[in-house]
Amino acid sequence: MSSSADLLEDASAPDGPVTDGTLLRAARLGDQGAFRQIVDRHGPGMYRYARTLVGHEQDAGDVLQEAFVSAWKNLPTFRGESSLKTWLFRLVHRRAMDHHRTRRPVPVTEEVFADVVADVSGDPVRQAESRELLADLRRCLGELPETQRACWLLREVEGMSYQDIGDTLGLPVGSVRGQLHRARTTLAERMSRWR
Amino acid sequence: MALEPSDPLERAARALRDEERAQEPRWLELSESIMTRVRGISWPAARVLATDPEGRTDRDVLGSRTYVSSRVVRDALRRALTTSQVEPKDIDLRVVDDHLQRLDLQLVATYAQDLQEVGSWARGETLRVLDEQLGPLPDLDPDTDVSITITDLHDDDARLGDTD
Repeated sequence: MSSSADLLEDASAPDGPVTDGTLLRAARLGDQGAFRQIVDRHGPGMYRYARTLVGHEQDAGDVLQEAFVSAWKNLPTFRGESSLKTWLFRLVHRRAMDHHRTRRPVPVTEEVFADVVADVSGDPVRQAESRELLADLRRCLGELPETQRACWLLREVEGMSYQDIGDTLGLPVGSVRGQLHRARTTLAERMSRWR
Repeated sequence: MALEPSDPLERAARALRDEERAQEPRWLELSESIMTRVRGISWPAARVLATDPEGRTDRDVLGSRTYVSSRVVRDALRRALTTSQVEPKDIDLRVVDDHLQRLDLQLVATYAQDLQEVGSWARGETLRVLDEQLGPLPDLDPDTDVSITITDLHDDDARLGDTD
């Protein structure tokens, strides 16, 4: 049991990993440092998600910025019905869909992604193969219906649960399963030439 | 060294996940521009009349007055009330005609604490911060106008509201 003295002695910032809940509470009270940590914790995944959805780095950066600005503005009214990560991905998904509605689709070329992935092996043959594999995946993803693509990315790349995917996309869990199954089947078939 | 999966789709998915490492320099630039935009957005705030150590609002014969932004007061309270065992969840200042009339504070605390002790400590800290920021406040009754509610919360719970 803690005493008042313990609490007072502890009154500096806590050590160790900070939970999303702690960061969220601090950010909701206007702590920009906490919001910065939220951006650094969830932003890279959101950026990756946005880039795959909109197909262009610059546009993905814009989508991400809009999502975080919206998050900051809406923090005081966010009541935590979903997890922080789910809420943030929902914001970036919405901005990406808005982007789709207002922009003409840009054809995705291999060159767009040519410098994106650095194979850590240092083997030039494997690096080239890795780039081609990824470019092919992106092409296949680009051909999927939007919901299937979003479900696959959130599950396979971001590691979300079916429930969190449903919360992010506004879909029932059963529908998430169906969309994911169709996406996996289609992608596996189209990527089979790499076997 | 980890074996590479034979399934091409799994290999490609792994490549996509690994992309984050290759994107780090771009990410730093992007996160900085996000924070620049965030810093330019201020939340609504009210001015609060501060008093001198004797509780007077007028600072000189000309009637000069000092005001403190409610955002500054909230920030000071948030800092003072954040420890590894207690965090503020909501800080609501009711300001009428520049006077602080009421303060409602919600705290979350980890389990296995004497919540009465936590509440007592939080009240003491709150009154100390108010005095530090605004001076003595004759309009504010610390017993009836400062409300502190504690919500017990597990340490690793990443959601708000679940334990209300």
